[in-house]
Formats: sequence, C-alpha cells, structure tokens
Amino acid sequence: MNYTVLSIIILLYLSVMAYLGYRGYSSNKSSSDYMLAGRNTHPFIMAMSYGATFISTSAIVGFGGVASLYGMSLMWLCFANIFIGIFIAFVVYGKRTRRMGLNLDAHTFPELMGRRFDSRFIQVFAGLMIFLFMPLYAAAVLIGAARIIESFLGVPYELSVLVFSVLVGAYVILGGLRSVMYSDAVQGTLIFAGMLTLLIFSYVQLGGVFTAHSSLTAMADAIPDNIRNLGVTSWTSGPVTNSPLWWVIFSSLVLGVGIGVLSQPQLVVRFMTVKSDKELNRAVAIGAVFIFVTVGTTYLIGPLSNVVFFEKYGQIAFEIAGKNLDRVIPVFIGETMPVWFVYLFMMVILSAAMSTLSSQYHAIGTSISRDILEYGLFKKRGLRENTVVLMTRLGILISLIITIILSLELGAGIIARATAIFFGLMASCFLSPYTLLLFWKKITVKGAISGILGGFFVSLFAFLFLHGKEAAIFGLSKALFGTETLLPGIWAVVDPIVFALPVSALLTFAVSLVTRVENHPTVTKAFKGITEEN
Amino acid sequence: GDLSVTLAILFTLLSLLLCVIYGVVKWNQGGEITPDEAD
Repeated sequence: MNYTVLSIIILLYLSVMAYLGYRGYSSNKSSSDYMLAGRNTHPFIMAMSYGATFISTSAIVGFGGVASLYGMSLMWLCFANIFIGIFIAFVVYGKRTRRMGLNLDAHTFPELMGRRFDSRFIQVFAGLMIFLFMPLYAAAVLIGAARIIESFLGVPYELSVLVFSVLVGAYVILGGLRSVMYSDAVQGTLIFAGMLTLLIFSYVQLGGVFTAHSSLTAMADAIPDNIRNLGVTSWTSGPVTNSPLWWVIFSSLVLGVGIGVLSQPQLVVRFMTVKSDKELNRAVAIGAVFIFVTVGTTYLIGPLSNVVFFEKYGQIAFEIAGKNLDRVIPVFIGETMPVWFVYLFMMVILSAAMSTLSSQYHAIGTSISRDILEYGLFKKRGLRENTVVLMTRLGILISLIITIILSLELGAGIIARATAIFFGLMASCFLSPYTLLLFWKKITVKGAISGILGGFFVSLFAFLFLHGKEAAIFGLSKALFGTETLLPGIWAVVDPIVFALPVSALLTFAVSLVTRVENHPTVTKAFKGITEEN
Repeated sequence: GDLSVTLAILFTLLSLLLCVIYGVVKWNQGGEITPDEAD
C-alpha cells in the first residue's frame, strides 16, 4: 500500500466534503438548501441522510468485530435494523412525528416531548440526557474511525484519535454541522458502494455463499474455549438458549440497539424535515436496501473473516486482531483486500464517521441552545442571542473534549457496548412516553415524567448494582454490599433495558390512567390532521 | 447455518421485501399538502 497515494485520496475526499459544505453554506443562505431545514428534499437524499446518520463506524467496525466472535446470530439485529429501524420507524412513528412536530413547531426531540406536554422539565431533562450521554456514542464512532486510521496508516491509536478529532472539528466548522444535503448524498452513496463491494468481493474470495458458510460451520473447533463455555458453539448457529452470550446478543445488542433506534434524537429529527408523507413512503424502500447492504455486510463479513484468516494464517480473527474486537474489520480489510479497495474503504469510514458525528453534534448543539437554555432554564428571563451562541459553542467544545477523553480511556472492544448502552438508555427513558404521546390522547404530563424518571433511575440502578460489566467498573456494589453485582448467575448479564423499559412503560401508562390531562388545547393542536391512517 | 441463523436471514430478507413493496406501492401517495400545513 502506498501511503502517499492514500494520504492524497484522504485529502482529496476532505477537500470535496469541505467544498460541498461551503457551497451548501454560501450558495443559498436560506433554509431551502439544507437537509435539516429544506423540505424539497428528494427521497433518495432523505433515505441516504437517515442511513448515513444511522450507520456509522460503530456499526461497521464495532459490530463487525463483535460478529467475528459471536457469529451470525447478529443477523437478528440486521432484521431488527430493517423491520424496526426502517419500517416501524418510518411508517408507524415517522408520519405522526412529522405532523405533530409541525403542529407544535417542535425542532428537536426534547422539544417535541416538552411541547406535547407543555413541560419545561421534560424538555430540559431530555436535553441534558443528550448533552451528557451522547458523547459516549460519539466516542464509539470516533474509536471506529481511529482504529481504521491506526490500521491503514500505521500511526499510533492515540494519535489517530487526535487527528480524526481535528478533522471532525474542521468539518463541523466548515458547515458539516448543518448536515448539508450534498454531503449526505455523497457520504451515503460511498458507504453503500463500499459495503456492497466488500460483500461481493468477500463471497467471491470464499467460493460463493454456501461454500463460505459451510467452511465457517466446519470451523466450530476453532472457537476459543471461554467463548464456547459462554454459549457460542458455532459461528453459523445461534448461541445456546439462556447462556450468558445468548443474553448479551439478544438483550444488549438486538433489543437495545434494535429497539433503541426508535428514540434516537438525531434520527427522530429527520422525520420533521420532510415535506410530506410521500417522501417517507419512498424512503422506506430506499432506506431498507441501504441498511440491508451496509449492516448485512458487516454482520456476515465479521464471522466469515475467520475463514479467510484461518486459511491464510492458521488463526482466527480475534487472535489476528490482538484480541481486540475493534481491530478485526480494519485488519481484515488491510490484510486481505486489494489495495484499491483499502483506498475506497478509507473513504467509506470517513463518510460513516463524519455523517454520524456531525448529526450527533448537531443534536448536542440544539440540546444546549434550544432545549436547555432558550426554552428551558432561561425561557422566562430570556437570553441575548450572542450569549446563546457562545454557550452553545462552549457546550459543543466540552462535548468534543469529553468524547476524545472517552475514546482514549475506554478499553479494547468497547464500540458495540458503548453504542448499546446509549441506545438502551434512550429507549428506557423515552421510548414509552414518545410512543404514547403519538398515539394516545390521554397520556398525561405526570405519566410521561414518571415513565422518563422511572426508566432513568432503574437504568442507573442496574448499571451500578446489577449489570456485571458496569457494576464491576463503578465498584459501588462491591463497596456497599461486598459483591460486584446484586444479581445471581445469569441475571448479571441481562441488559438493564430488560428491567428499565417495562418499568418505564408501566409507569407511563398507569400514572396516566390515574391523573388528568391538563393541556387539552395543546393535545387538540398536536393531533390536528392526524388520522387513523397516519 | 442452523435454524436460528437461517430464520434470521429469512426474516431479514422478508423485511427487506416488505419495505421495498411498501415503498413502491405507496410511491406516489401522501403528497397532499393543505394550505394550513404549508403555512
């Protein structure tokens, strides 16, 4: 591989992105030229924008690495990503969210919830959740990009994190924060083309679909003993039911990420930006194909990398990657793919990281400026616009620094777990009230607050005292009760979402039943134009 | 793969088919905008 050529390609790519960002900014100062403000958006752009935001280096690098060790049962997450993340999200949630957002003049996810209930508390709390916890998900995306740079360019991981942080900072400053429609289209198309090429090339390299899967099935003896003891006995079969890895795969990854996508603030806001339901209808087809090719490739290639590595080096992917799951996909691409594809994949990764990071920082920025400051803490007193601008930028800078620190401090193989924690936490707190506010006129502000706080505190308790991995890190359970987790045996690997989401749903529903709706005019306004067909 | 993985791939393909059919059938529906909505 020629590092000079690779560096030139990266610089060329960044120049094109910067030019598109600048062109989007300067050619038309009105809102019509921007994805986040322009309603005359082609459904292809809408689907690509949603897809490029949804699919990040976390999915490609992190979950691909996890699949290399846990096997093809992660295809259940691919099913969830398409059926829940596209079909349910667009058809069931998207149309009502678009119309209700318009009726209430809501521009962010916290604002939609706050205005629906006339509750400043809900808007500020949701804004704070995004400001405080989104950096964890952003760190997962940043780690994925840094691992690729580390692997392809041979630079130390810490330097990769810092270099990519500077690139993201520059991208954001040059207009990427506005998620310019041209950039989204280019980035989404690059991700799609790169992943489709990877899928086809890998299967051709392995002699076709059935030969590849049969070869992987025959490798069952190569699975590390500790993984076998935890429940994975073959990479082409599901884990043993009720085994520790069965719970990890189905409660943390499939349930946490599969359902958690419905209450992701940076994705929900996409529904508010389209002109009509027609764009959402069309985006269902385009988005599903995009997700199938991108995450389907990741979850299939991860396990199949074992066959390639074993035939070439006599070792499985986990060992070749230095027992760091986050390095499996970068090493697989670098070691087994032709040089031209390495160049293409570098741009895929840059696209996947930047499109997601820009939307994450847009969500963080609007949470600070609109949800916490303007319509939250200072709604009555008001704030000078310059003060809001200054505090917003300061908040984004603090978030970026926290993201960098997390990227440097979090351990190996953390991408998928960090993503699942954020997705699960957002679902535990907000999915129940968000669902009911769209479909049930009798949900009350007290019910919504009970559900949000119930989901949050049960999640917090579970992370501190119940879920083995996090409870051991915090050490509070050990200090207070002398044991790393209060739950015995298998229960210590059950994801907090399994406890928190039902509690949140039950509280939201039950408290709404015994309290009265206090904002009837707002409810009438929110549901204007919403019919059973929506 | 085994039944679990085969079902996962099958359901994935069925979901993809559902989305594509839905998108194609509804391709030209839902584009009506009322004056109130335009405002």
